[in-house]
Amino acid sequence: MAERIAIEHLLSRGRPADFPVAFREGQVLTFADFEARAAGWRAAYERHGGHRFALSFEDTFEFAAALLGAWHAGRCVYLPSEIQPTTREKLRGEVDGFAGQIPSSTPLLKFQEGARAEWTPLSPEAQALVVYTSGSSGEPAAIPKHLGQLTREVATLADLFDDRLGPSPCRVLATVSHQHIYGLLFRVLWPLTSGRPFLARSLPYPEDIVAELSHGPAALIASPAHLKRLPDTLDWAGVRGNLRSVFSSGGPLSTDALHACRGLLGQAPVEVYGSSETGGIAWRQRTQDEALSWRTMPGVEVRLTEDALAVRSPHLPDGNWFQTEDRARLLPEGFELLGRMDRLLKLEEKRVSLSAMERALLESDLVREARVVPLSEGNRSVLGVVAVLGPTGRHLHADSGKPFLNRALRKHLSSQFEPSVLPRRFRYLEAMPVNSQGKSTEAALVALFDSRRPPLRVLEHTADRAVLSIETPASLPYFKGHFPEKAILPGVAQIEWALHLGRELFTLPPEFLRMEAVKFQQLIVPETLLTLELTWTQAKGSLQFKFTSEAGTHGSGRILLGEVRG
Amino acid sequence: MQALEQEIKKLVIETLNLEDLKPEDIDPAAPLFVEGLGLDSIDALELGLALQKAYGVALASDSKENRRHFASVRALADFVSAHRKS
Repeated sequence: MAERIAIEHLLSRGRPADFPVAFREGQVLTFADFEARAAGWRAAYERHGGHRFALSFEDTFEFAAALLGAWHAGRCVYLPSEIQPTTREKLRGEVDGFAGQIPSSTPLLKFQEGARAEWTPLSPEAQALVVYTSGSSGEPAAIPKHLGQLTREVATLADLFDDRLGPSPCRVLATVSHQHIYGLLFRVLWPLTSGRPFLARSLPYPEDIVAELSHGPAALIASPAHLKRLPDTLDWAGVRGNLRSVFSSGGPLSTDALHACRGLLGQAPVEVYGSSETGGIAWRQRTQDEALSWRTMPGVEVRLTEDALAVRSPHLPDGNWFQTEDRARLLPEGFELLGRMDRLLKLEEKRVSLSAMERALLESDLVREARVVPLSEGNRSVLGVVAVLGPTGRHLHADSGKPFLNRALRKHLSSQFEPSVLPRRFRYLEAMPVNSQGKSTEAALVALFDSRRPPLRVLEHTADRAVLSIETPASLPYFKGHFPEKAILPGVAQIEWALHLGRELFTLPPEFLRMEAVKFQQLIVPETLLTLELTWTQAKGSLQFKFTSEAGTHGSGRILLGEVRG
Repeated sequence: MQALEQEIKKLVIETLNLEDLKPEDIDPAAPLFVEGLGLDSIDALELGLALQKAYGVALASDSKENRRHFASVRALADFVSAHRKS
């Protein structure tokens, strides 16, 4: 096996001049060829100036040289997954130049023939790459990566999978493009690091794969889209002895595709689970057990946040946890995936992703946390927003009022969502309501929109005391028929508010035991601005409440609570 | 006429359950849809039914006409006062 050389050191340390880096049309492309092309590209970036370059190549060898050339010129590479006119137009505003096969009027970087270069090691901290998500909900998002994220992941891949490729020679074939993170890592950076020659062109057709396999040992970097379409009419049996390993990533591999691989290719693919944001997270090879769990990659940590997998990994930009939207169940050796969290909803025939809306709200800079919940309201369903405001949002709320803030958030969302799905109900809280496990359940969020809950603001809140400002609009259902001649707020409503709000603000025992010293001194009429003071004394299990206004005290008392008995 | 505008504002708020809004927050001349209150076509249907129930006015099937009536609270008040049965 060839010496493993991290990408940072590949050109500065070098390989033998005749070392095979790639194959193109049956020709060997050597390390000397690679170095010459990388030097020419490096000179091209340096001559052009500017820091950010979009690369779009069909030929993977040329791409690899242009990529290393850019990194050695200290440039950041943008990797669009396609180069349609709209993408081009958008990129034009983000990058300083383009290189590769980019159609029409776009001016391209000119390769510098005969350039030579002195190579020094690259810095792992360099802002090396920007890749794009598939954008399942709206616009594809740009994901910046520094070089260290990529090379750490490549080292992990080499540790995990190098042995599967067996002794040299073993070429790397691919059905997937290097313009995606999976292809970039598996068919370019890993082969360069581990010294495996790769095929410069992609093999989108199964016939091409069979033909290439007939030439000698190889590994195949594939996606479920290709693996589920392997025709059984081809002579797989004649060539599969040369197939050292198959990799599948980019989406879930169906059991049908798995069976086709086992049958036709004589092996189960190594499946890799990850995303553009996280890089690789886990892998598995379902040789026998179809429900085999995912094994977390070395160095990657996983945990659950409300059933969804969160990841901390050397493939991420920092040491923070990254929240995925994949539901999972943790197992001793890894985890099981249970499907996407992305909550899609049909609202008046319009499909809307609640998760995408929550993300969009966070981007507004007005809110710090946001949840979107569906509410059924008479004949129609509407969306409600529960949000914890950030400093800007707080100011807007205090200075311009709630309707103004509601409108600002709707306006912000209107650039991404149709008018008829925009949220109509808003609740701004000090903190998200959480249950004893620290989770905000949908039921708790929906309860915030109950018409019996009065409009309120939390003025003070500590572990055992809270002060709230509560409005009593005439539209509250409590005023209906109580009494027909003159509306007043019933005492039970005050007790109910005290208990419900107490449960939101403090961790209270579940069982209602009794009430003590309850007094209703003055009536509460519609449109009164009340202050509610709640005090929780855990030692006594006592929640004390007092409703006051400019007119004085309206009601007060103690609610005693305890654990479930028996 | 102002009384009718006030009534219609209340009707709009109640029918569409526009929380956080009081009648005085609604500018009678401001557009009800898209900008302004941000109502949509389903709201227009609901509002049409409510107007029919309250004032016995029937909306024409001509959508261009309707768009004119639904332009603002004032336009709705004009329409109701011209066509109401009671």
